[in-house]
Amino acid sequence: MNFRLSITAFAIAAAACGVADAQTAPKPPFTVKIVGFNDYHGNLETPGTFGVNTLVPTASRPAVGGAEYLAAYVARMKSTNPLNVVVGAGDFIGASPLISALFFDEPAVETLNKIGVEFNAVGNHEFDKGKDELRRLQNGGCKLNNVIPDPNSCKGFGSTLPGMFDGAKFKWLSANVVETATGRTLLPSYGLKTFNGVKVAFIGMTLKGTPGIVTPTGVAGLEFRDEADTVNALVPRLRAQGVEAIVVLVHQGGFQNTLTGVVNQPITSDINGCTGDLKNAAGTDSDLRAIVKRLDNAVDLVISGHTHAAYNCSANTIDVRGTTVANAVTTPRPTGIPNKAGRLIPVTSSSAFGRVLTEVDVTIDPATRDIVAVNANNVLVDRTDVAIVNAIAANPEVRNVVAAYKTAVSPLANAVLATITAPMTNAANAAGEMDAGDLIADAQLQATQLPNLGGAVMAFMNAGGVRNPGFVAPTTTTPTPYPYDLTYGDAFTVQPFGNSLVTMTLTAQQIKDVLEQQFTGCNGQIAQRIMQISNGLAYTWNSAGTCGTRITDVAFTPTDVTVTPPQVIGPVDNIVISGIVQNPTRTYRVTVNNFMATGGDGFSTLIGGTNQLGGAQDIDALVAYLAAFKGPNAPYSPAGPVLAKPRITRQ
Amino acid sequence: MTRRRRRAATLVAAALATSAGAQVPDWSIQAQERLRAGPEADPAQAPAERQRLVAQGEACLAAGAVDCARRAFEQAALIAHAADIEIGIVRAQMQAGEYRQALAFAAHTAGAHRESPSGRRLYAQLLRQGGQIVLAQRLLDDVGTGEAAPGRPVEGDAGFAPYPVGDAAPPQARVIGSAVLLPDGRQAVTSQGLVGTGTPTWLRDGLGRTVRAELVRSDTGSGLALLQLARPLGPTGMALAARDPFPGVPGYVVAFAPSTSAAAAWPQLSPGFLGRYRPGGGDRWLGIDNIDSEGAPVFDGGGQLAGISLPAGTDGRLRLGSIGALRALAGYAPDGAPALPARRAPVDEIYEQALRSALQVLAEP
Repeated sequence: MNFRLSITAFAIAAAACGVADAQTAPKPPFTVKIVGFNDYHGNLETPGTFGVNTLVPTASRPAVGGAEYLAAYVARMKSTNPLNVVVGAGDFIGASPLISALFFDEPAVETLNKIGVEFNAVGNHEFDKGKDELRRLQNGGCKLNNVIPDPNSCKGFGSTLPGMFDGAKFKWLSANVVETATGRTLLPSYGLKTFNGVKVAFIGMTLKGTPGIVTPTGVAGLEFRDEADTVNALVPRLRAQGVEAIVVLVHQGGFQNTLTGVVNQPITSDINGCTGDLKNAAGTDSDLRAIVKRLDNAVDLVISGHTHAAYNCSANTIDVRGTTVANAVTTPRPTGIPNKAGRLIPVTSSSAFGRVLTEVDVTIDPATRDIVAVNANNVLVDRTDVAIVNAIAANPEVRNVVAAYKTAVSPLANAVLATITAPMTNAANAAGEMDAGDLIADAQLQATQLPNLGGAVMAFMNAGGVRNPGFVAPTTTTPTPYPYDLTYGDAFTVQPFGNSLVTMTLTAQQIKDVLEQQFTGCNGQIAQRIMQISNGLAYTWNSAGTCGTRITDVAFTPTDVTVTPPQVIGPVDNIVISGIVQNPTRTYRVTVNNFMATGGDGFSTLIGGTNQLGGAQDIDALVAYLAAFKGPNAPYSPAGPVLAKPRITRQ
Repeated sequence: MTRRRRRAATLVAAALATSAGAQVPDWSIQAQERLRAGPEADPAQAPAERQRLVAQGEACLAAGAVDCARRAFEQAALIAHAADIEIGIVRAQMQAGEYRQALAFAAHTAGAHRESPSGRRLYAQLLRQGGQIVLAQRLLDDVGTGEAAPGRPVEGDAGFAPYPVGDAAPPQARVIGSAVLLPDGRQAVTSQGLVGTGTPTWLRDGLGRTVRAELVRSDTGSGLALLQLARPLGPTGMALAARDPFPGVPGYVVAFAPSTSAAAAWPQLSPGFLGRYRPGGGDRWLGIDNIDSEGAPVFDGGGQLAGISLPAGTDGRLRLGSIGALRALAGYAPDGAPALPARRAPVDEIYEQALRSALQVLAEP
């Protein structure tokens, strides 16, 4: 539209209001907030520091960006106007840091979902992995390798459930990308959002030169058409739908250049500057300026990207001149880039990597359904903003997603701990014993057996702490998963709680009591909870017994598990025979986790343990124990006779 | 030339004239030649101002003027989106000790400038040195430049390194192992086997800062030696673990491999899990495989200094020098802090910290 014509018409309409009042009062103009950014490139974490212009000394530039900060800034901007939309100008994925790239940019998409993006133009990097992968990121689903899900896909930290990838909740737009086989655009050309009954169109596209800057396989079967021609061809279609407010999201950009032969140009590259009006240094048109110059007059705003530059060529453009922040002089210089009709169109870009957001308030006249004013500002995503920091603390959802991926990207996640010869699930046998539980109990005994680490002689592990699925090869491992190299990630899945070990002194009577307390209704126990026990301890329980009479025999064979294979180091000590505690006051050093030590899972007897000594975390104990079964050492076999199974017998 | 440009050029020239790092090392010359030869440095695409800024950035970097370098490269990036400029930014970030930012930016350079083998190799190098060896290898394999067998150190990455600044070691000096800079930045601890009384020794961190050091004392029982720096390198921001870590905790060795030269380098992080106490013995296994790590700091999962890597015992397995012994040797009393780290730090954060605390030990043969 033409601002000047529109404003005149608006003035006439306003002047006529006195007459119209008695009839139907025209609806007043309203404002819609558009939040735009570009070239996120999967930067879930801060890309570092950034200044509003080059005058800001390096040491004074704040840390910027990061997914949780972007989300908080966007939320704050949106909170000022319920009529809002968040849009992007491409390259939201691709060329991304490890935290996103390792997981096929699913983290980028998930965080963008949570930031609230609704429409995004494709950029050249959206094609890095080809159109099929782009479609997957749009629609969701796991990355497959020969029909098997890739282990780094569908982590799901930011999706509905672990093991899922929701896909983008925003629409990728590709008005000028056409599949040659069908003649249709790869993705929708534009998106519409209605505000107070007025539709606003967002046309999205990438630079037509995309095929020249991505791998040929990424753009095979696609045609990239001229940007301006594409937009101009869409304008009649949009108008036919009653759309007059049109925003172009284009992944093409320019730089703030000082022009050769022009004096007194600002050289500070302020994020709200437009030095050189997006011309090349030689005075010729940049690619973006050349596009805008050919755009139909119906286009009201261009949000651009690609060059990673920040600029704000609009009514809010400022020139910042000076040599230091202290002597800087800021001068407003309303500008824009001329379109086909010569009208100045606001054109913005917000640097890259989530450093900057463009906050645009557009005023819409409901009578004409058109944009009549554009108020654009680039805003630094400043991580030192106290209100934003507090907002993240109050709502850490995005921060938690970032943290989860940060953990998953650790080189330790896939480190092999040991080789196992057979699966060890967390399914217990009829007596309540599970191979996975035996392993954990042995590891906890080993971690606390040396005198300076607790001097333990036995360990109890609550069955509920042995998490699903136990120590097993992934179901996707084919064709013969065993022997299987167990990874730290596998072990962490089974022991995720970060419990620490506690070694305490229990009497023989307390050992009998806590074993009795495994059964429903006994001393406050509300469910049957058979503990897992370490090598050297064995007991028998009678399913027909009652509280206090179920444990019939308990035998303890002192066993050194700090050596491999474990060694019996003393005679058998029959703690309980036929239900009778032989030496009730005799003491033993027993290791449990801190959850159990405080009465967790109903084991209140353990609260009475004395001389308690804190120890390692359960996962660390497990890792240390398994190290003896890593190649070239012999693998861990759950059926090995040295493990002295069964340890629990049911009568 | 404007007055402003003349002033900048004068400053750079002055810095170059006074810097110990003014002699551009071979690796840098070769790297620059690779850059010049690559499509990312096509002069036809490089206006004079951009080229001037890149040259200025390189000169500042060589002089150890990191802020100057960063400003020049960033100014160039406001003119053009190009691999050589971004590589300059990444190297300036590394010289400033900002590994995390450098890694993220290098990822972008590698992905966005596929025409540039240097960008890809720099990213692979940073991944590898930060402990992501498998991923670094995969990156090089994906682009057909991998040269190493699986499990072997990655070859074919960039070979970039910091410029050495500070005290100049004699030409015949070479890297003989690693050490750790203590939190006050004035003293260092290494393996007793690396240093001797009266032997001239130089220490250099991952930022290239070099300083002469003298042996203060050593302890045969623990196998550790304490060194005094000729001048402080500044606080490291590193914490000392309150007590010896439990076996099985995640751990990281950050080491400089011995070399036949004295070239500055970024250290190598090796991840793993700290070993158990040796049955029947008072010492314990390191648990992390890096045979080139003698004297190197060992960090726990929270990034606290948890010990020192010591040579293998008779069983051929590396030992972990005790943090308790280190504290006693250096006069750091137990601080009563909780035994367990409050949090597990990301590995890139640990590596970034280690750029200032892990040291090369240089000596004449």
